[in-house]
Amino acid sequence: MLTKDLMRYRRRGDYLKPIFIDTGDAKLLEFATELLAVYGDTGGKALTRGEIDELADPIVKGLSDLCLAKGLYKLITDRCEFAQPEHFDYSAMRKKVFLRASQLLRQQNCSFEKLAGHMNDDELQRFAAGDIFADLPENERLSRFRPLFPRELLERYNTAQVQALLMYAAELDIKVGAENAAELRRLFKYLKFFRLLAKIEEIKSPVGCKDMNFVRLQVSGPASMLDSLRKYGMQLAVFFPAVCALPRWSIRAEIKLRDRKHRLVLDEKSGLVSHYRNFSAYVPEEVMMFHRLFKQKVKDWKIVGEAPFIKNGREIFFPDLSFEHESGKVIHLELFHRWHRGELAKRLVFCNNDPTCPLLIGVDRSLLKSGYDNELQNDSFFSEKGFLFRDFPGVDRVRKLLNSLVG
Amino acid sequence: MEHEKQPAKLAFEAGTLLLKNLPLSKLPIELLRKIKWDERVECHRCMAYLYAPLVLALRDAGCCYEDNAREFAPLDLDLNTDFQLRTHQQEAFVAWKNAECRAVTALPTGSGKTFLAVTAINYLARPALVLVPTIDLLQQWASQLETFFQQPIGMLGGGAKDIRPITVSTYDSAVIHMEFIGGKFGFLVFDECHHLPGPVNRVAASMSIAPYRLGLTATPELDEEPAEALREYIGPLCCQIHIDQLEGEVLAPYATRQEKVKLDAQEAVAYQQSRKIYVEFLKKHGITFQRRDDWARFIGLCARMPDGRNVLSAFLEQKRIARGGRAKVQRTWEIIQEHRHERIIVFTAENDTAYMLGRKFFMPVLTHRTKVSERKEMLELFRSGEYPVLITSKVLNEGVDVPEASVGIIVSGSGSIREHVQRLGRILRAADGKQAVLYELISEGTSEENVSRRRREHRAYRRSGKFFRRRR
Repeated sequence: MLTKDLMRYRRRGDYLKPIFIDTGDAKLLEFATELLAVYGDTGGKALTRGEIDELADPIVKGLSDLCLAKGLYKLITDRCEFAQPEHFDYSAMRKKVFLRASQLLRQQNCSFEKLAGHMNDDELQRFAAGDIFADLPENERLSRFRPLFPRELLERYNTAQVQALLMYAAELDIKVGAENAAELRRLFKYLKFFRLLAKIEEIKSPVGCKDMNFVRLQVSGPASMLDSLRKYGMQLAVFFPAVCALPRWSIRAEIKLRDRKHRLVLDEKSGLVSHYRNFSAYVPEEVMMFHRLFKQKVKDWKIVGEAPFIKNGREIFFPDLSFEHESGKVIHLELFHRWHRGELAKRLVFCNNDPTCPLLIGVDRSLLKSGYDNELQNDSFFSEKGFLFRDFPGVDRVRKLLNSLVG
Repeated sequence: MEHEKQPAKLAFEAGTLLLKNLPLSKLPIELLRKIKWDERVECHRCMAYLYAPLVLALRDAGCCYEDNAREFAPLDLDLNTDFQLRTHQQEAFVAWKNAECRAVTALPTGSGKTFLAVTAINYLARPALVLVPTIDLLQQWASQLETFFQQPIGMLGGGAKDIRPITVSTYDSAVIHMEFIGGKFGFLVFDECHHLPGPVNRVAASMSIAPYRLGLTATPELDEEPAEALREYIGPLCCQIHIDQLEGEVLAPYATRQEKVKLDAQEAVAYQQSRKIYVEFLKKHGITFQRRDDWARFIGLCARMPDGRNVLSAFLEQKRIARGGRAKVQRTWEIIQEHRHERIIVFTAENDTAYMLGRKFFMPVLTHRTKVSERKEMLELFRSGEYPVLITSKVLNEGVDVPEASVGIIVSGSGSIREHVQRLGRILRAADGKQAVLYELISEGTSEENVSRRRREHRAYRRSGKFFRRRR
């Protein structure tokens, strides 16, 4: 993460505009390559912080934009782990030196310049003649470096500029568009992971993006509405790469810097590249088989993918399947397996509060342990719109329930 | 109307209270202003620290409520000591109780703030969390509480994450963890509570439901906004006792000695040259350091202007000479020798000067970089007298208990009155026949003279005949 002194932005009225770099710029790529080479193979001997600083210093100062150079250097340093030299116990040796010097101080008046010559033995004298604080952090050695490519470093730098500004935000207004539910699901996983809350609404897809699901999220921390806490700035900053990983996105945020409020507005045209890995959605074999059988056996319903839907502006559901009746009615199906007990409990509370929720709940029998079976069978929503299955639900069971909902 | 039939429900969530079926019409207006409707979860929400006034308001209004926020129950404590509160501690304890056990007490360093807190924990018998500013204080408090209560004490911070009915945490760790543990403690003790009002640290107080709170400080003087934050999150200042009121009885008698040290000829020339470059640059760019962003402007200009790097070097050089020039080093050693049979703490403004002195004198240096095991050993050896000298930058400014120290040498420091008073406090713990003395070394003819003038503006330094100036 970039610190305040390494942020680069312009002010245009109330707006802040991060100064991004061209990630294809040959000169910058060369600079990044040189800087990363400092951390490369050094003949088996790990460098100290001080040595790394010494090697990197002329490279950093060689770039005309010092703030940019230091920022890139900081991002690389964040990927390093340093360790104390293990072969020598500096603390123990220092203790001996301090005890000896204290003894000398109490015994006689002598100048401090002569203390080193009065150490008890050769070993102590040699130690006192060197740097007795040689194990300070600047002398720690590089123990691990997570490598990255020069272009990745430049891409990260641009994202880090936005993240650094978001550290001073209390709330983030986001509009995102995703091609499939898996992409949005991942975004919401990050939202939960970073303990953020959101007010959610489905919004109209812009022209040319009819196949995409668009959602607006007003993201903040639980206490943001009560106090303009900077506490969530870090959480918003680390959440941001999950936003710019989506194909369509835009953000608005209020940034409070030096007692002044500014606005930050960005979208996918900024060309930011997320470093959060974008795994494509995997479709298991049993799901494909269900699709085939359902198509063969059921004529008045069709599977319409797995469209996420929102209830009451606060809860977004990611059903495993969505079905459309020939009358136009859409019912979703969410499946819960043995590791989803907490989620199931929350979903049942929500659905019991809102029984009109167009959702069927399927529960894998492996989840039924320690008396949860009774609890589930006594649940009013589940008794009407729920069912049990083993491994994957059967088509007939699902059809029966779907039909019961269209009367 | 439906709300009134159902009990109000209180739940702790991430440092806030979720409030359902709240009888809004029955709550006082000042409380209602702090409660908001949260459409994200479709219920009311307020910060957790409002738990006590909210519960009291519900009780006063005769409303039923279901309390799912409180995760603590009374403790069975056995205080293992024959100590009795001394007069000034008793005065503070009574004042705190009269303030409904939510208040700040201002007592000088060495006057027994820890025992006051121990008495309060024992009195309330509720799970207690003690918040401290440094790792050294974390260990010190944990060790003392363990002795007093004869039970394992939890620690949060410095690599430890062990929550127990009585726990000590650094402010930094409490800020991170309070959203998870804010319902577990009934009593919060804020040691050196003047650290609390910062925009980050105050989260440690606002995200806890603890109904009982005690703030401890030796230096309660704060600007208006931070003072208001202390009142809001802890309570009013209920008792203030000054250093000079306890001197000679509870605290050791003391003297403060300001000494002006002349730079040697070579350093004087170097200082003037560097100072000139620096001051001319400031004048040229109209930087007076009167505005809050002047420092950032100065650094920014140093990075951008062609002569910026020279100016920055000149700034650092003149500061280095004023703070740790050769004459000062020599005088520090002379004072150490004069007091070599006592316990001496040497204070510097920054780590580099501390390590420079440590390398020259072969004396232990304690900074935030010192490893936990080594700092613990250093303090033990200093207390036992095997180390007569301890050099430090800022980590010993506050709180750490070194009662044996009787001499302080301020080699360099900031213009902060608080820092100066706290440093004096380090050597004031009473002991038989102890006469404390605090030396302040100033490089003559340098900017240090102004810095010193600013930090001495406290009644502890204004006593006639108690300090003298000496010119060398």
